[in-house]
Amino acid sequence: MKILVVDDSRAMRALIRRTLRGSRYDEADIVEAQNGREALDSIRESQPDLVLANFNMPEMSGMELLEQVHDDGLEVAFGFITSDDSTANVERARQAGARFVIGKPFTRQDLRRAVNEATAATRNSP
Amino acid sequence: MSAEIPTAKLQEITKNVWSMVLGFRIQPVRFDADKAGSQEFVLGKVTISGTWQGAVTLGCSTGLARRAAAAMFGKLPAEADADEIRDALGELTNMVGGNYKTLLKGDCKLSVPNVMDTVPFVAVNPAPPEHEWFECEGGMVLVNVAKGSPR
Repeated sequence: MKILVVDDSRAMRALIRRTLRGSRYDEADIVEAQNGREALDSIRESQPDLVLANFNMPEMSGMELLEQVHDDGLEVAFGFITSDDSTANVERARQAGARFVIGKPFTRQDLRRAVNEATAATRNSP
Repeated sequence: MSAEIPTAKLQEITKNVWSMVLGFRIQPVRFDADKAGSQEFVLGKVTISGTWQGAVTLGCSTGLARRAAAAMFGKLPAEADADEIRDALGELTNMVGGNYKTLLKGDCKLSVPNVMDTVPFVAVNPAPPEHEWFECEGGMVLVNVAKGSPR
């Protein structure tokens, strides 16, 4: 399994990576991008199974990334991890096809549960 | 502090971020210029624009900022470099500001964080007495919400 973590904060990417470690994602190939534009290149190059993206980033936001992925016709499971999980943002993300939105700060359980559900849904989709 | 959200809520957000992300307990304290005056701080700021306009500033004393960065990067404090300290403080500011924004009514946008390091006490902006102060792991944390166009 390949998971792409997209956040402009290196500290947050490290935290997400550590949270996934020691779970069933120990063996996953976890790659990183620091903004939506870098992530888009990575997704086009080697389609990951799951993208975990921040909402608010320079260059290209997480939402712009998701919209561009759809425009490209790419099928990638997408989840947001954001400090800005306002009702409006959660609704917008859901409508755009995100599997989940987790607020920062998150617990280990929150993240692992959301990732488990998103990857299970991907495996079960036709 | 000039905002519609009660100060207690801002304190709760700050404590929550510090305990959940870093595993550090922070305790609100009265501002004490004698105690804070000799320290230097790392300051992060995010602005909020839209139906509510203002800025959220989070800072901490430099030693504590190093320990916070070490906790986020999973390394020893002595191993955390200046970029990592800036990055960690920026992300902590982003979380406090983002959580604060979710409490505001209307349509608002959060900026990416801007971080200044080794700011002497006398240059802390907004002025130190306008912040909420906390003690944590022998260091100091300060947070402020300022309504209006960012200074």
